[in-house]
Amino acid sequence: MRLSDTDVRYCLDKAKELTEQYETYSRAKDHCQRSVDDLAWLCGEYLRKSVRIYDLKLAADEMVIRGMFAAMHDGSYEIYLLSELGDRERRFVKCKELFHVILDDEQCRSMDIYAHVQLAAAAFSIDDNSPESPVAWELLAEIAAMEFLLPYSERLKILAASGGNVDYADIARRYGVPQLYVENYLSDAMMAEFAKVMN
Amino acid sequence: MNAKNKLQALEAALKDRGVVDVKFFFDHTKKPLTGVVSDVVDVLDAVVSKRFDDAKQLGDSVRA
Repeated sequence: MRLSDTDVRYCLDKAKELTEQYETYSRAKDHCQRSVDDLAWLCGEYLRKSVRIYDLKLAADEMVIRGMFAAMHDGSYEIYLLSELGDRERRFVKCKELFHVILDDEQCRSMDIYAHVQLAAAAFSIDDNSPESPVAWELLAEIAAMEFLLPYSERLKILAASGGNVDYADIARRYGVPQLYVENYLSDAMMAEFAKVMN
Repeated sequence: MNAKNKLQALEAALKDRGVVDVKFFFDHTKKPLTGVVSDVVDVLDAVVSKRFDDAKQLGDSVRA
């Protein structure tokens, strides 16, 4: 999926803004694992957004869907998490859905769910696809969530210290991020993409 | 009723509840997303039918 550098920079800037606020309140500034519960609190305290978070009575199992975000007509938001997610996945899903709240823009909304799902299916399976904006924001929220949980600056330090032999399982455990995402975001290809927008 | 029709009925129910935008967390490692519509129907049906509780905290707070 192709994303515009402008959109990627915007979501990275929002992640940085929230991280700066987070650091203001955190008692554990040097702790690798940032708190997603505190990010949810910041959405209300700092952004003045009302967010209700629910556990669905529906097991994640082999389902493709792990969580859901809904924007409401009254300006509030709802997040639904599927049950029986692992601890790291639950943290990551909640974090990413919170970034949908943080990044919400009326122009990026869609209630044509069938078309949205069809577009998402195509966008995630065809590398050079250039999706319409509502689907692009699925990936942009993921990028922002990773920037909060395992920032690019930290990833550079990890790679520099690894001597070319990254212990992905250890990084996943220390930062509380699913290993699959750690491996993806530390890959040469992904780091090269971030280097382009960070410079 | 096929999956597309079910999805559109659930979409209408969500709009009635005041929902103006929906986004999903897709785990695209699980199976081809081409079969995702039935999963979306299951999730939306749980939401519309109010099969949920207030979420438990993760318990990772470090707030001063």
